[in-house]
Amino acid sequence: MDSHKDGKKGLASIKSAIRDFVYGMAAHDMVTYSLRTRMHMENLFMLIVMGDMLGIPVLPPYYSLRLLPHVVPHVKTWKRTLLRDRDVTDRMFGG
Amino acid sequence: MVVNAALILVGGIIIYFLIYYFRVKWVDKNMMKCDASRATPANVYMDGVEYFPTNKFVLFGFQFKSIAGLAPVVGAITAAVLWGWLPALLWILIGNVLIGWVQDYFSCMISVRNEGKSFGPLSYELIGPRTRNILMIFLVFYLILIMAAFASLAAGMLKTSINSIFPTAAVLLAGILVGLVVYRMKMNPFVGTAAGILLIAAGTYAGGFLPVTVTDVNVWLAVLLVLCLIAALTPIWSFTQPTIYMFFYVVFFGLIALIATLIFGHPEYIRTDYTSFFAGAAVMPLWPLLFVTIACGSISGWHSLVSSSATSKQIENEKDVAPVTAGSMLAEGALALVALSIVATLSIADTTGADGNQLTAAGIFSKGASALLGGSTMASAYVGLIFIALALAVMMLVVRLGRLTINEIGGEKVPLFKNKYLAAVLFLLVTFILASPTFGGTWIYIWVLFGGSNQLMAGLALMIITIWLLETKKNWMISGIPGVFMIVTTIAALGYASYQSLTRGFAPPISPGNIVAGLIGVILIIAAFIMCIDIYRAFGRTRNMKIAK
Repeated sequence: MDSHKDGKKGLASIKSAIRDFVYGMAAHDMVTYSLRTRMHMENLFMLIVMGDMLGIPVLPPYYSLRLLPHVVPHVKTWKRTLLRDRDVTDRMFGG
Repeated sequence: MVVNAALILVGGIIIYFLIYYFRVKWVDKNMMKCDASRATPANVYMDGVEYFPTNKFVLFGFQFKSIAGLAPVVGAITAAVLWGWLPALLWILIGNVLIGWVQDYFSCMISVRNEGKSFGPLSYELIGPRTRNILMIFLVFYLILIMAAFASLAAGMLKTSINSIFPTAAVLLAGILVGLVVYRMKMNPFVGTAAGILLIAAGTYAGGFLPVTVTDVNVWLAVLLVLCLIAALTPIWSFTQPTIYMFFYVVFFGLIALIATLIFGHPEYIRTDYTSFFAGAAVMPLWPLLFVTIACGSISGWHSLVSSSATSKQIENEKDVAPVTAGSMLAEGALALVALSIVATLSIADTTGADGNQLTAAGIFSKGASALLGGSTMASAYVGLIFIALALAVMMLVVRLGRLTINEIGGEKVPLFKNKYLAAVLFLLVTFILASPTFGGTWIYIWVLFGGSNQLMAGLALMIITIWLLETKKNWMISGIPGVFMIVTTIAALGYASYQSLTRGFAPPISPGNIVAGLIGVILIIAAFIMCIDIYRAFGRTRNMKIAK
């Protein structure tokens, strides 16, 4: 019984590995590209909301204040992403 | 010597497995002391975009797709035609076992242990600022030369494989359809994929009955370059990416069919195993040219860029580095063995055209692979499509990368180069001069120069690895000896190809294609010598620091 269960589990893990491998070959770069596109859009959104930080009041303060709770948790990651030095070799793969 | 193709293929795969389970895992465990609990850049800097932990099987698929294109196929076929299948087989096995995986594995590992930095910043830090610029020079010429070599082959294939035109058009249409369905209409990707595959199947079926004949290679070359221009200038989601996605299915199913036929169909290697040290009418010496003719499949500098720039940022834990990078490299070696088997199952008479000249690599692939798949018109159409898909997928990406590189590097000095239209057109213009028969570029020398620029990147990557290993008090010989071998061999190969190109170029009637190729070779050689000086100094500096400590 146990060996039957183990066999089923092993087969499932092989199936899952093959599915992941095919996904990696076929679509992983498309998905990461979509994520990057979203990142660029979010960068713009952050800039609009946090423009005051740079002395560029893009939005009226009322709206900025309403949006701040959604934006503040991501400020650290945003700053790190924007400030990271990117080489041509990074940009070649979409960085 | 007559050998069974299945024996070579299965034997090669077994050798790769043994190397992986004994050598790669030993290095991973004892030399690099990989620790699954050590945080990787994907965990430390996770932003969900560039840095994010990814399943090792997904990454293996991604890495394999990024490194394995048309180059291992063409390299193996060209080498087997020139020197026989035995030298090609030995280099594919030995090169991969001793050098190939070392470069791919350590490129990723260094990046993982250095905050996910790619080889540009790493060459700057470990060797010097000038070396980073030299890496960029190798990269620019690598992109131009790969574009010219593939454009020439693909145009030749479109001219001769008259049943593959319709299927190719069907794939391009399927790509646009998938782009619209997924990105514009926001429908389930499976719907778009299924519709695209149906369209390709219908196109391939129709291609068997609807041949398209255009005998001027320049016309096909122009068509391909215009397609690449569109790919470079339109948003990537609208054309390039979905088309490459559909190309994947074409190649995937084709490769599975070819591997199954080679293993279960029992074809035999009937081609001459060894011709001579100086091969062909062009008198190509085995050393150094074999080692740059087969680049991907044995060792390729491109892989170090993929490993350090993209894969290293998504490694979930250090124990995944070996299966993802070394595993992909060894799998690419197996792909090169498939290509080698395709040419070796044809005799020299089979690969000789009506004019008495050897067929091109494209022609040989078409003939060999369609014979393996049954030899029908439909099989011929599909095989031609596989080759064109492999070439076009690389070309569409390369022209984007070439445009980007000219924008980034040239734009710093000449603001005009920041213009994306100008950069793309300039890139394609050089490609056309090199690839068009009108300008007289000799394909084999362009291929050697492409391999040379690729292997110089590999040599640089191996020396960066060597200096890092020296700095971290590890056995640097594992990459140092292969690095020196690759640099010396590649400079010799570039010297030979440049001399031949320039001699042919200036001989009447003057051929601008050969002159441009020869000049590119000379620039690469000068850059390689400067790189050697920088590496020597950096090595000495690092060793002295180690002694002082």
